Amino acid sequence: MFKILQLTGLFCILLIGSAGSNLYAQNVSDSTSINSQSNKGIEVKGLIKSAKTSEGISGINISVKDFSAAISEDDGNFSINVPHLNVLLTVSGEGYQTKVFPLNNRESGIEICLFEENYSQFYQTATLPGKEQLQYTTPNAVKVTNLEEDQWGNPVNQSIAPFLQGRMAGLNSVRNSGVPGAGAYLTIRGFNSLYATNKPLIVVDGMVYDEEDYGSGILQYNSSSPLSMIDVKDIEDITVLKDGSSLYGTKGGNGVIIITTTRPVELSTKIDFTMYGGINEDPQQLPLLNAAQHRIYLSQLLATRGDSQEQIANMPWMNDSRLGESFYQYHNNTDWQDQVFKSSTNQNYYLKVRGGDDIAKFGLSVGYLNSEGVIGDSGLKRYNTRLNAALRLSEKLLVNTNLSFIYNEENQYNQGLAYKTSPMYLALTKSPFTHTNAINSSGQVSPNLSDVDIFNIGNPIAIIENGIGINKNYRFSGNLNFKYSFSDSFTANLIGGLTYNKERERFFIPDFGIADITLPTAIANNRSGSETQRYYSLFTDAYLNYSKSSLDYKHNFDVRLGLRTQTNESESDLGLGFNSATDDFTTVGSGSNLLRIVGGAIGEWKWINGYLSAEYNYLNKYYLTLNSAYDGSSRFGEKIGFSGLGSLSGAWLLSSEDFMKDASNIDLFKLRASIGVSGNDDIGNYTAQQLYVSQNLLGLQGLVRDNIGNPELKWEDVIKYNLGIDIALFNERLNATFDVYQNKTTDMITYASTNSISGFDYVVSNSGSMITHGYDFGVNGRLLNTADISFDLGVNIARYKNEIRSIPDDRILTEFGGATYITQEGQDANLFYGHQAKGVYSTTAEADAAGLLRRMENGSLMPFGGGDIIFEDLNGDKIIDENDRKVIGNPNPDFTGSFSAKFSYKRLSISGLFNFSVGNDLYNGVRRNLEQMSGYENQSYAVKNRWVAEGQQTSIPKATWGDPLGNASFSSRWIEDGSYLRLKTLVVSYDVDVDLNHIKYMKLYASGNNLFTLTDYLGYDPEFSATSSIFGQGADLGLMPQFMTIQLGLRLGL
Amino acid sequence: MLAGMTLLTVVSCSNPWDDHSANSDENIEQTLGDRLTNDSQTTEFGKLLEETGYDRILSGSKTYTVWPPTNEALASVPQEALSDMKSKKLFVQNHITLTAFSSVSEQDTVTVQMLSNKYLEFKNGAVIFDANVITTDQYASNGLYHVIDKALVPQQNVWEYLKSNAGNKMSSYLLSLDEFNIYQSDSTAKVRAKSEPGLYADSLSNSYLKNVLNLNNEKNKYTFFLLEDDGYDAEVEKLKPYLIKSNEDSTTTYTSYFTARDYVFHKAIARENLPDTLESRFGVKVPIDTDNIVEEVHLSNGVVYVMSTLDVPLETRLLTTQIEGEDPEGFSHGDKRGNTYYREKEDLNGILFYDIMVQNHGEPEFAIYYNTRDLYSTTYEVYWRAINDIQENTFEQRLRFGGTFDLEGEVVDPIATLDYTDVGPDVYDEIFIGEFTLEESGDLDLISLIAANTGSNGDNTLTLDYLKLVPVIK
Repeated sequence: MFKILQLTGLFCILLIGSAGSNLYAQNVSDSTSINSQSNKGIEVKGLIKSAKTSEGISGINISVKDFSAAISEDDGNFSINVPHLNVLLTVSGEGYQTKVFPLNNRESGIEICLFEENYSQFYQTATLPGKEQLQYTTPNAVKVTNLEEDQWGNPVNQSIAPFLQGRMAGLNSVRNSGVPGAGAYLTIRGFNSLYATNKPLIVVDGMVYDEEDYGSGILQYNSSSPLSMIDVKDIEDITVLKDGSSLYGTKGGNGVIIITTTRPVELSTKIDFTMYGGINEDPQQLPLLNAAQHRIYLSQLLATRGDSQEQIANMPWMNDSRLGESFYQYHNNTDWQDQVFKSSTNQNYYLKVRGGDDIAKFGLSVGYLNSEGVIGDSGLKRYNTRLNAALRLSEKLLVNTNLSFIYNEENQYNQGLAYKTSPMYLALTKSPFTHTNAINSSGQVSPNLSDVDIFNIGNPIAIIENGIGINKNYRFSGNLNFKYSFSDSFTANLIGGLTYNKERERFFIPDFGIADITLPTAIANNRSGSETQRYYSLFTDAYLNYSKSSLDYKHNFDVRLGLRTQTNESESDLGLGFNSATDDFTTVGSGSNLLRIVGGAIGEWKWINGYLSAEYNYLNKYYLTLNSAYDGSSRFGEKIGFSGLGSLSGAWLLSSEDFMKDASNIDLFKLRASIGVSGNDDIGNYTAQQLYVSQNLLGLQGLVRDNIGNPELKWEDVIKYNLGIDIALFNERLNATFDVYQNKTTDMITYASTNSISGFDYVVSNSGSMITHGYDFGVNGRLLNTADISFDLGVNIARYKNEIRSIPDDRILTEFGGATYITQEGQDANLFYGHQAKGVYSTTAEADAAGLLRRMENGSLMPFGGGDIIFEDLNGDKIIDENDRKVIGNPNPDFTGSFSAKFSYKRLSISGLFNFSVGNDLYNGVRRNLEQMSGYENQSYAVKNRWVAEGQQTSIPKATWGDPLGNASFSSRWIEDGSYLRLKTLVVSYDVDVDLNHIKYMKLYASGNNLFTLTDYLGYDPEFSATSSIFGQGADLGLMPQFMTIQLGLRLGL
Repeated sequence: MLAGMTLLTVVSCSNPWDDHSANSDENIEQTLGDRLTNDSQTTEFGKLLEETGYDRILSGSKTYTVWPPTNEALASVPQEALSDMKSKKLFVQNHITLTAFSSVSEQDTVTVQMLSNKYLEFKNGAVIFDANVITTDQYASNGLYHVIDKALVPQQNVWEYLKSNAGNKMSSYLLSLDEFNIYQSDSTAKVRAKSEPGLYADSLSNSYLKNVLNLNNEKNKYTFFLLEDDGYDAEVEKLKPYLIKSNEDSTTTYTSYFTARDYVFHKAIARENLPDTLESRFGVKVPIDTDNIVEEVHLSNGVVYVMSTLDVPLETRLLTTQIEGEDPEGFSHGDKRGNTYYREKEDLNGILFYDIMVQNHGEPEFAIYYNTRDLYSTTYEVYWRAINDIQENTFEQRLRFGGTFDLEGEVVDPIATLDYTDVGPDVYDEIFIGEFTLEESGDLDLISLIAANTGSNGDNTLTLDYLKLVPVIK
């Protein structure tokens, strides 16, 4: 079917193409009138000034599009002819930000202030699908970030997604973990879906960039982020579309991030060489019990297990006689966090060459990056190269190529809930009185590591030294972009590109020093695994573009018609091996034949998207844009045809109206409104179809039905409303943007539980809806503005609020990492749901008076006693069970945002970016493990305050083996305020005054990353995201925290 | 801005953990040692702790519970309990235990092992041994304490009591078993007790403790009857004819052992609960006459009744020896395992029995060897139960007691050889076989069950459920 579609698409292009050539014929007369630079029109006069010095600037180019151009004189004065008094003057000059200036019915006395490059966001150029547009003129909620300013001081271990954090209101970026190369949980304006992705669509150089990890995660709780492969220094600008993304049809529902890499525009050869080196600080440790405190804890705990005094006294670690066999093994004071974490270094070398001639221009970059982690040998080595070229094959035909190849080599360790193999978890829980190395009975320390200790807790150093966790991956991504200009106003474009991504992961967990795991049929001592992932995608985008102004230059049109296709294949194959003969055999093949596990997954999906975009503006005051898309996808059910989606947006530039012309303090006042429908096609490649899977029953292989296919399964619709204001005041010293929005998701994918007679647990259908609304606010001000000194302050604030409107069952309960979440109608999706803890019973008498009982797993009831947690009995039946749970927290923040400040003095500049999150609750799973007081694991320092005697007033309950009363069960005890304020980056740069022939410039950078975090959160780091699903956000599983880095850099221009 | 950032940096140094782990409770910051020495109720005990060095132990990294006596209670402790450093330490140890014992417990009585290795009962969180708890559940970083109104003076155990009563003939005899070995294996055990002090050392150090009951063990409770000299001598004399050894000294020593071993019983039995007969662990029924109790001594691991006499009649004193057929020591031919059956069968009444049967071995006078210990110097009546349930025919077998192997492997110089006795089919009864007499008491290392002197299978079968040797009173 898709072949046919593609053929029709091609046919359409040809048809429209021929129509276009007819249009071109009609346009000839118009173009001659422009070229004549006639003296028709009205002459206007004005002055170009520098905003810093208030002096006139010469040599500034002033133009009216397609009509006239002029250059400012020595004193900054200019005069230019305009077709009417509502035109926009485009003002550009070397070293200044190109801006537009509405004449607004003025003929003379015009003063135009120019700021340095990248000053005001309203004059930034957004790279919209198929064209570039000044933000000044766009009717949509679009935000552009130009990276020129910040990319050179960017910390080595920060890829794009974390880089974007705090830079754009409404784009929320939560870094997955501190592991080098980790990606981020990216969302624009909250979330729109429960089961489909909430990640915005990413488009790099016109081509959809796939950001999925197709692996099964054999390196536990590590994930791959292809987006993090793109070198920040290769990026020119990033545009975020928050609304009006309908042009991307069923992929645009979550907004779009458009990344443009190096543009080859230079004619003279420019060489940038940079080198950076820095140190990574090991994270601040969590306070734990020391060896003595841990022994006291254990001697109390074992008594609650029922061990006799004698059994406890005879524990080898209780023996205080030096003559004892194991005295020295258990009388140490090892700071395991100190043993596991270490400071490390990072370095980065990067060379970018730009140049060319009139025919061929190019930008070539090569880079090497080595970003070490703060545990063992963990780290990332990256080799990347990119060639972007622009070729003018003829007067009419332009070809742009973007080719990139990136190779990564990552060393990783298990993290998160990998209780036996995560060095971080072991460092927290291994008893401090054990030692890293083996010790004999006379106290001599062996160079060999110690094996699993008496508590069956492994040695984290054994994993660090003898474990293997390697991820080698590469991605080739390239496209060719043909542009044929029939005339100045009519072009045809064809983008064809492919992406090939391959990833090989391999791990080995040695037997020695690591606790065994239990498989269904065996005990596994050592473990190995390897996985290969492959992703291949072919992308095309063909479109025709026609833009035209009316003869009087009052009506301006821009129309585009196009067709995109995408063909994707993904595959992953994995093998797990167990029990190889010795720890020297580390591959899957050397494991036991009986225990080997193989598996994998394949995916294949296709997408076709026909689109039409029409833009119109009148007098550069009234803007109207219509976008529509018509999508087909292999993912839709067979009864579902094409989707028709669209959006309409408009803007009104009040500041260009007559009545505002004397309001000299208001430079820009724009109102925007948009309404549109986008879609989300992340509904599963094969969910709509009926599937069969193989199953083994008592040795017989057979095929069984896997699901209930839904032939009517379709995309999720996201209906977006947006109202916005853009405002610039006081000669553009203050620029602000404010948007309110509402996204309503209908036909939302839900998993409805089915009658068990059907043999299936659930059915997938489009039967939910929810609403997300909120606002984004961004303001930037220049507080000081003199020739030598400038000082900018900026604030971004974003808020979203979510509400489930309808779901098939009463409620959805989900589990992640020990936390329970509830999703039900009328509330936010994904709220923490558990018991409310209200302190600790001081005495048994107090507990008896309260009379609460806990329902055990076997159904029996057990009374709470002194030192147990007081749980709130919601239904008053005196029994604490699952019916007493309530909403105890919301992982969604009330606000997120950032403060930025930049100070420049002559050649020195200092810029800082603080980002913050307010009002989000976090589930501290790490602290739960460190304060559950039910096993041998070492505990947090606060556990020294645990309840030990009748009458003791404390907030920490008693230690009991196995925790029968569930004092540590998921409850409000573990929910913490996750608000934080972080100095994310601080960059000091100095532009050295060089007077050398070969060196054009030399800049020095000193950057700090994560310099400090202000938070009440008790984990390592309040920012983490262990999963890409919303069910699981806010659950701290103990991922590698983000750490502080400090680096020095040198940038040379040759 | 820089100033602002400096300020923030300073603020950021306040770690949220400081709040979370903050503690307004002074008690939890102090160790037990500190708290006890500072508590005005227990200052004297605190001083004693410092003197004995136990303040340092109570400041260590283990969990303890202490029952400190009040200053008044400590003042009324008898002088001898605190006479020297050793007794002071023992005194202090008797107030301290490992792990935490709250005043609230699911059991009403909790047995607590003090550091003195004495076991005390903590009842309802209010009484320990004979002291009342005045102040409960005072806690510290490494445990808790309950202040009591009476000091817990450490008590002797049964063995220590016997040691301190060496004037008594019976106790002095028992103490002499430190040196003398009743059985050969005792000597290696005593060597081990010295070389490997540890878990079982005290029970190995004395033949009585090793072979009878370990009266030094604080974990168990015992009832011990200590006879005054006259009564003791009478009992020993009565038994002497049955324990004749090669010389008079040996005879006396062994007779004393076999007399004294029947006067100790598991569990501490209060006087009012004493039954008229107690059975010793060797199966001897001991009639108890409470009128003969001269003194009753309560000790840490039980009770000692000092008796004027404790007469055990020979009928119950002398024990029948039973040898199980399925526990042979050896065979005359080592290659007949294929013909040897260890059987588990039911008799006609459906009662299970285990026996041995050797069949179709083809050897004339094939023999199964047994041995037994601790026989008396008297005549024994011999019974067996030999079951022939799978053969139609009757076969014969006989018994031989004693003897040694000569160089050819033949048994020579037996004490007695009984006549062949028929084993008829399906006879399940115990049958009298004959008698033999021992001149000296002791072990009998060789008892042979001999098959008929024929190689024809079916006639040379051997079978034995058990042998019974019944001593005859002289």
